[in-house]
Amino acid sequence: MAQVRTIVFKAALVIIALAVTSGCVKVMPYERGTLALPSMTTEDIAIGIDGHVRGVSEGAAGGLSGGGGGCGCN
Amino acid sequence: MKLLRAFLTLFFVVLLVVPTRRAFAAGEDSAVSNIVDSVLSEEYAAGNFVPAQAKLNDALSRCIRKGCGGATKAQVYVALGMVASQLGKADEAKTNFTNAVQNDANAKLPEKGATPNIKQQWDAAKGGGAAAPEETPGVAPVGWNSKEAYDLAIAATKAQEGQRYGECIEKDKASLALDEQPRTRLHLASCEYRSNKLIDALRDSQKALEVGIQKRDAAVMKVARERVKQLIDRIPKITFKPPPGNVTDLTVTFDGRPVPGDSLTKKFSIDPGKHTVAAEGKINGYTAQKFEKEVEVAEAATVVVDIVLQPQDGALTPQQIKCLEEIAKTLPLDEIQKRITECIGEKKNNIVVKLGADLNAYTDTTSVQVVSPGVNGSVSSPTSGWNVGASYLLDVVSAASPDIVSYASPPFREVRHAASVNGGYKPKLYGVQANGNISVEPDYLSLSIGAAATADLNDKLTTPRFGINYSHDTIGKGSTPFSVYSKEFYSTTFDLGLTQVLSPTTVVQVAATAQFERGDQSKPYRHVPMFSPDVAKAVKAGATIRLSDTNRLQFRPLEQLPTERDRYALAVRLIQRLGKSTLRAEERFYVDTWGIIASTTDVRFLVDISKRIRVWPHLRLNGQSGADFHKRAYTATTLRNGVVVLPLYRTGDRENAPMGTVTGGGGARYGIGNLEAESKAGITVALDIMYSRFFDSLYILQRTAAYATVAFDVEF
Repeated sequence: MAQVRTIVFKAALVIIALAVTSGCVKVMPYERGTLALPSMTTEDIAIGIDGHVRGVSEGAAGGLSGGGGGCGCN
Repeated sequence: MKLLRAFLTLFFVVLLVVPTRRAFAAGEDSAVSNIVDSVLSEEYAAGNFVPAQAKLNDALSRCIRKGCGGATKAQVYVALGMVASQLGKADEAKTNFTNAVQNDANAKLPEKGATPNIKQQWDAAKGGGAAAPEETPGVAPVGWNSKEAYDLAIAATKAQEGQRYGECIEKDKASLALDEQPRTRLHLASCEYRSNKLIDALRDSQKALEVGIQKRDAAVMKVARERVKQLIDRIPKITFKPPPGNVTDLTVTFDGRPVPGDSLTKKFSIDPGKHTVAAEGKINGYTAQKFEKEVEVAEAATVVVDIVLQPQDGALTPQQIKCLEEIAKTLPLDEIQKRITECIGEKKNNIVVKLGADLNAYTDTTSVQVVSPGVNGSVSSPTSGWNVGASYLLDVVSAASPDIVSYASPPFREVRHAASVNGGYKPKLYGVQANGNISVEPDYLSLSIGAAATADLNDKLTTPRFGINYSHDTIGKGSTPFSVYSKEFYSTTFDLGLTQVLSPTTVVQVAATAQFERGDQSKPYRHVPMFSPDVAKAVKAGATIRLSDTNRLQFRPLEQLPTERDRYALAVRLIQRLGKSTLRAEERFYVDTWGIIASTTDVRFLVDISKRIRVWPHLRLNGQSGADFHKRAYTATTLRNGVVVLPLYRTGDRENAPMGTVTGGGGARYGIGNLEAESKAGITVALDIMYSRFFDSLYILQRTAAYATVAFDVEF
């Protein structure tokens, strides 16, 4: 359990550090055309049952695809 | 006395009236004679025999009504006979010539305009000459080189009489192709003029003049000269005013024919009537703008067409472009968006509708097959910031996996319905999103709700996200009603994420998830084989069902998992644009209180082959340790008093065991229809092959699965 807490603590530190240092980055609005491309979306681009298959075939869950839950299959 | 006065009055009236009457008749003769001269030198000489005939008939009526002299009447009949002869009406010509001679024995043909044919007919009518020869089939009349050309010219004249000018033009042209007669050429010009083809009429009048000069036909020359002069004055002109500003790639067409760019301001002679002017060009290098206008031009008019390029398919106007260019690039994004709205206004239709349907299929080497159709849709307002959506998915699963077979259960088929709704509101920088989900199987019911909040910070370059999700599952067993048997299972998930734009081509995302599960999620149908301690040591990974059944203890308890599980995940996603490709790489580290530690790497490389086609390979690697309580072969001990001591936790779930998975595949998307239009549609196909290796599990050591998706989406 102590190991888990350590990992969570480190993760929080990483996120906070990114948030703080991100102020240094400056991308002008007119430079953001590429960011609007469909392939640059910040959403998960997996389609169909890809997520469902991951859920039932991997012991891990969560991360960028959210905390899972709901399918009751894992 | 009174009688004398009346007589004198009558006498003077008679004296006054009689000379007046005579003078009137003499004036009428002169007027009719002038009409005849005019017709012969104008219409007749120009080959316009039908109007010539009409004018002469009017003159004859006037003459008879008002009492012309015989010589004048004879002059009209002679002219009518000439016209009838030219129209191919020999009998009518002779009748008119006979009438002329009867009215004036000294009547004669005019010096000009009498063809040899007319002369023969005249002589026959007068009786002094030989009868005019009947037209011989296949032989050209006198003065013609081609009988067919003559017939065509006559047909053209009749077509003009019936106001069929198109046919008139066609016949005259055919006649001229066989025999170049200046009068036919003039007749052609006349029909062209009546068809509003002034340019052609001018050209043919000029040609008639040229031939008339060559043949020294004074009558034709006179008429042709006047016709040319009239036409030059009547032919309308058109010129173009190019669009203002920095216009490039400008093309202008007039009735579909290109107009040279350096000649736009010159005057072009055109026919009167309706015309279409079209233009296309770029302003300041922006998307092509269009212009199209129908102009109606009257005779003798000069028209200036002001070319005003307009945006097409929602492109910006020059004024909007200028307005946008004046926005300072250094302003904050919010201010820029506000200015942009001021420049181009808000779209009237600011609702975006997305609809999708997909069909998925899964199969693996453990005899599990899934067919899963699904539909989804959403409606959003980008300007107002709200969105709603819903989806539905149906899973039809048939399975005969080793776990089922090991329990001597028959293969089963099960149907799962899953539906979700979501909605959100993000008017400006801060937004919230909520969702609800339900999944229904005969032995499993899952309900969940979730909410998340986001904020656009640092000029929308930094977007943190916080979400919470709660689910409540009811786990049943087979077809047993939940009221008879069920277990409850709860899960609460917290998400904390951050999206950061690092450069114009780089985005990075970091997310941490903490998921707290409470309740017994043990599968009520999953039995775990037990072995004596000595045997357990000898059971190897992948031991077959038969071997296991042969060596296991008699009893086989149900799976029992810990009733608490805390799961933590930390993930990083890099999205990097590289030329016409996009690299999407993800790494997730996972740990939970059951002791499972996992690493998952997922990479996609999306290549935009064209605006319409995008393809990508996909690679996913997953490796994990087993849960603390996982054992390949669990041991049970029977005490002397007969009590069986079982391990507290036991599982047969291979996903709780050490394992590794490699998934490889790819996909492609094809854009359908006009990609520049507001409506967009596409078809996506994806196929993945997944290979799993189980390092410490019973029954199987590996599993290969294939799953594919065909999806259609449309946005408007």
